[in-house]
This record gives sequence, structure tokens and C-alpha cells, in this order.
Amino acid sequence: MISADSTLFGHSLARRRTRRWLVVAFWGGLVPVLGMGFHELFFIARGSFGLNTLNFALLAIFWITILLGGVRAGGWVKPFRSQTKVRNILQPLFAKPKPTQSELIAQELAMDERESFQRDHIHFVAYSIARTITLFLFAFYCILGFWKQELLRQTGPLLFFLLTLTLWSLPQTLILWTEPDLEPEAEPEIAKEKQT
Amino acid sequence: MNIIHQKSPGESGLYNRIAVLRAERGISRQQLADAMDVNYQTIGFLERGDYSPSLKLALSLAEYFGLPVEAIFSKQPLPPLSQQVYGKQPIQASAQEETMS
Repeated sequence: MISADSTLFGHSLARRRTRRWLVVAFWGGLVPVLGMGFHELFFIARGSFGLNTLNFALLAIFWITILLGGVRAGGWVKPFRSQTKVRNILQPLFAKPKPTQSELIAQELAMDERESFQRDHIHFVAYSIARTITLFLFAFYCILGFWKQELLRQTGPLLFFLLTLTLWSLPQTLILWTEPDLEPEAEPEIAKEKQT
Repeated sequence: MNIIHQKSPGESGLYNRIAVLRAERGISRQQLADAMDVNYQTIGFLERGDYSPSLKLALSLAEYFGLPVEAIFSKQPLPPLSQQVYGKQPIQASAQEETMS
């Protein structure tokens, strides 16, 4: 699990800039997949939906699910700041969490009222965007039908994949993109001074 | 960034004295956040006026600081606490008023 306390190649995910790079990398990584899908549909297969495209789509969905697949329950990236110690982004891939970490993870998943509000608000924004995208995809599908009837069957899975991609990843993307820099813990010296 | 005197209400449209009260008591954002059971980042949003707290959180803050809610949050700009307690105008403001008259 990747939280705002984690680092990405030495850069803290508490910084909006790093989080935006993660978003760009995520969506940028899908461009070749989509490109291959379209290429196969229009220039190679011509007769049937290619197995390679389907495999790529499945891989991409797996990629979505583990990385930006949800704000809380799904996906590894947790956009909100937690109080756990700083960990490396690759740690969950290689190391099993220690028993004591389960408590930390549970704490990490808990959101306060502002974060819950922000999550709900972003889901509304994502829905509004997804609604428009769905309309465009449907229009695209219909236009293809007018153009060439057989392309309807071929493009269906790809458009369905695009819709899945949007619905799964857009809320998380928006939160990671819009959440401001998380400030470092402020004024710890105040408490120290008071104690002395 | 230290926000002691909140000059604008932020996105919430509310002015508050959380930063002042916190500084007075010498507690960090993290300590206050722990006491309120929220993320310390949320305390920062509150202090900047970028987040409007729930009634529950506002009452919890009031209880924590031992003050009425209206002493912490206001829709109008809040005067400095000392001015409100002792009822005197700041010297600069008084001098300006005298020169104007």
C-alpha cells in the first residue's frame, strides 16, 4: 500500500508534484496499451477482436486495480496523509507486512471528516466527467456503426475497457492531482519549549 | 507557514482562532489533531479557513479549548483576543482614527 507518507524514487508523495508525476506515469503507461488496441482493431485484425488486445486490456485492468483503483477499499495509493512512518514505495511488493503493521494499515485507511468529504466530493466530480465520457464513447460507437457495421463488434471491448478505466481510476486521479502539498508537522518545538 | 492572524476566511467562509489558541497553549498541530481524532493536515485546513468543520468537530474544539464555539469560529473577522478581553483599540488604529477626525 502506498500512502502519502511513502516515497517514490526518493521523492515524498506528500508533495503534490510527486503525486502528479505518479498520475502522469499511470495514464501515460496506458497510452501504449490503448494505441496497440486501436492499431490492432483498425489495421491488423480487421476481422476479429485480437487476443493480444484482450490480454493487454486485462493487464491494464490489473494495473488499474492495484495502483489507482479506488480511494479507499481498492488500489494501493492512498492519497491522504497518514501517521505511519515513512516507507519505500516498493516495500509492499517484497516484504510481508509485520503483524504490528496491520494496526498501522487500519489506521491508515481511516479517514477523518475532511478527507471523507473530499473523497465524496471528488467522486461527484468524477461522476460528472465520466458521464460526459460515456456519452462521447457511445457517440463514437454509433458513428463507427454508421461507418462500418462490423467495427461495432470489434470496438465494443475497447470502449468498454476505456469506460472501466475511467470509472475505476478517475476519482483517485483527481484526488492525487488536486490535494495540496501536505505540510510538514508544524511547530514541534512549541511543545518542547513548554515542557522545559 | 504560521497562521496566527487569519486575514481571509478561506474557502469555508469562516474565520477562526484555532492557530492563536493553539499557540497560546503551546501545542502542535499533531497534538491537537490527536486530541480531536483527526488528521493533522485537517487542522491546517481548519486554521487557514479552507475547511468548514462539522458541528461535532467544532464542539469538540470548543470543549478542548474550554471556550464557547463563537469564541473560536465566526462569520465576521475576529478581533485580537486581547482587544476583545480588555476592550481597547490597538494604538495604531486609535491614532489613525484621531488623525482622520
